[in-house]
Amino acid sequence: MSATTPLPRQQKSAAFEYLTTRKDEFVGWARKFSLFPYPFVTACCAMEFMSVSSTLYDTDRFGAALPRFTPRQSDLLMVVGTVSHKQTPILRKVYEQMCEPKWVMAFGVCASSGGFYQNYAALPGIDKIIPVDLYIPGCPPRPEMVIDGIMKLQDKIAGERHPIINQDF
Amino acid sequence: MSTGANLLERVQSGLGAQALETGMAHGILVLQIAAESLVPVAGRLKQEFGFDLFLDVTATDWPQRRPRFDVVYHFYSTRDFVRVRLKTQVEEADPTVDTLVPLYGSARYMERECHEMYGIRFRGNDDLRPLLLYEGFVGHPLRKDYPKQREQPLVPYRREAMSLPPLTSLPNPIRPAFTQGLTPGSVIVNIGPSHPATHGTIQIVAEISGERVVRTDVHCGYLHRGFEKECESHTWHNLIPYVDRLNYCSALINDFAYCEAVEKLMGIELTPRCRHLRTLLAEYSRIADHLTCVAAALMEMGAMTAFLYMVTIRDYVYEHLAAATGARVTYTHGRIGGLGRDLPEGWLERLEEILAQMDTFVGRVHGLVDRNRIFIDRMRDVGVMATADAIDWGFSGPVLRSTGVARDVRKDTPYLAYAELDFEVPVGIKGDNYDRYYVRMREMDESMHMIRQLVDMLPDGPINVDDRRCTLPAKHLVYTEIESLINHFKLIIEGIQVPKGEAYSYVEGANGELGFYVVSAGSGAPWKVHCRSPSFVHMGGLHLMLEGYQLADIIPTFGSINMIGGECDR
Repeated sequence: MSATTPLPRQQKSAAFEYLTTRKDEFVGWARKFSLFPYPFVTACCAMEFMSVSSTLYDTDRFGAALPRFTPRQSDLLMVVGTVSHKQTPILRKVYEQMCEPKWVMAFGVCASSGGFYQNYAALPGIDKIIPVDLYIPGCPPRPEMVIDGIMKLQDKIAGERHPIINQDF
Repeated sequence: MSTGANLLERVQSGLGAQALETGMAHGILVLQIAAESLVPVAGRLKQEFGFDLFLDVTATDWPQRRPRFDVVYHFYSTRDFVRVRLKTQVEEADPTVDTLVPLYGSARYMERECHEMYGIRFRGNDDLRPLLLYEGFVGHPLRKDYPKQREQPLVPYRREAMSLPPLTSLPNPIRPAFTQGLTPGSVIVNIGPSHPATHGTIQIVAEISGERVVRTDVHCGYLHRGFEKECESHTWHNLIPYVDRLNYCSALINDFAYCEAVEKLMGIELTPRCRHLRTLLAEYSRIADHLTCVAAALMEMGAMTAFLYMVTIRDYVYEHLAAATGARVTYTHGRIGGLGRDLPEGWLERLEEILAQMDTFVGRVHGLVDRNRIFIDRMRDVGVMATADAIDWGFSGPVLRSTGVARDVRKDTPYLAYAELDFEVPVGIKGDNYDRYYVRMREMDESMHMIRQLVDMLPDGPINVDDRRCTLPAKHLVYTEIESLINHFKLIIEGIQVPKGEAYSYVEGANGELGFYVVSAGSGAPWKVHCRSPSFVHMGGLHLMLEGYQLADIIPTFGSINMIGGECDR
């Protein structure tokens, strides 16, 4: 079983298939409980971000608490609040600085779609410039909603393929 | 204020010759002047009559009129507590007025904003770079002929679901004031706008020599989301959610300030219960704001425990406010002529419980940091601001009070129910970080004291005025009688009809004087809503508090000012 040259699919043995699925599950399980968020905090949603990360709601319980204040060390980009056009180059740059694997959460309606700021200044949703894995509606969302979002993201991570050596394994 | 009224009379007689038109409007003296006499009149206002605080400059666009633009200035006298509005008209072909920068430091930032939003040129102001907008933005978005939704993206949009356009080079939205150091040994560093230790989107370009900050260039505008443009396309009531999101730490104060401006235009007198409830909720909001500010500032210095204490108690406040208004952060509770709804059952009992807990929690924070050597070393004698400088740069609120003057709109020109309350205005000693921290902590105590008084004196009665122009009829009447149905329909579809005119309302926001300058053309939507935001003005003078101190001091100094992006950048 060479890791660098993948076998043609029809030649894969049943044991190899089994190993691959269990490997993805294992890596996904590990990754979903070690989310290191980078809070890209801009606006009102920051108030709820503060609430959700402190005592009463405590995202620590979900393995998603310790904010890394450099994008290079984090794997979850939380875009918290409105992104204006002036901010877009910075957001794109922060996204590019993050290492794979990375996930993006649009926290609040402004990050998801621009919310009720449909004008010259606000970006109509961060998915216009970077791919987004999870949208959390609310203006701002309640902490319970954010926790639900984190759990949904963890489910998504657990169900994903996690290639760690090359594209196939 | 009799001395204030005297002063306005003296101004009116003294400057009447230079004015084209004078008059009083909602307690503010309005002088219509020619563009040439702007600097002489402003100079006399400052030197002769003591109008030392430059509040605001903005413009109003009347596309059908010649001359097209009104340039509107507001001044305040911190000695006599009165305000003056100067108005001058400029032509579209040559929208130029003289700058007021030599008279007031604070004019520098505000003229930059007015320039980019309306295209008014300020002769003599050499720094008219984009401030809230970005380099390369074409046009002036607040002019009426700029379409609201015309975007000018800086980064190309993605076309399909999972594609990402190749990263070539990202444009720099700002142009720093300097790219070369003054001395060979100095280094230029960039802090922000997405920096872990600054709460809020601010960018500071600093030149440092060793650890010492030589000069700084502060850029805001990363949260500019077109507040004023959005207001113009909504009815008077529908724009209240936007007002909420200016200073989202204390959204209720914004709500009430905006409603007050419209109520002034309509000549509405609030019911006693509404006045007291608004005061109570505003003070409650102020506590939440100060809790947030102090918590964030302490966390940035590493005091995580204090942060957790304060955010916990703030969360109790949020849930409690949600019980009264329906939302935790952005309440949309103010209505023109009243409030969204009355207090629910048992709200005041829970309020007393929370205030008692707050005493405990805030007391613990006092115990943790007040005499803490590390805290004092980072805060004492850092970011010092003198009173004269603070006034020159338009500062107000806790930052001005920390320099030692007891200027507070609630005390000086009482509004709502503040005249009936007993409270002190805490002041600092020398305007450093420690004073700003302590003024905020003391203000929370005063707010709690005020809330307790208000609970005792809260009158019964309706919360909304009985006025068909603005108050919705009761729901059962809408379903049963035709007059109420029509009334409801007109108020919802066409909006409140606000008489022609302009008004400036001023309240003590959590960060300083929060003003709303509203202009009505007599229809259901405002012609213009301008917010005089304290954070924005404070950012204009921030460099004074940073220069000369160490690079690491930028964090506590910035934290102690409590810049709120939504309010600063609008």
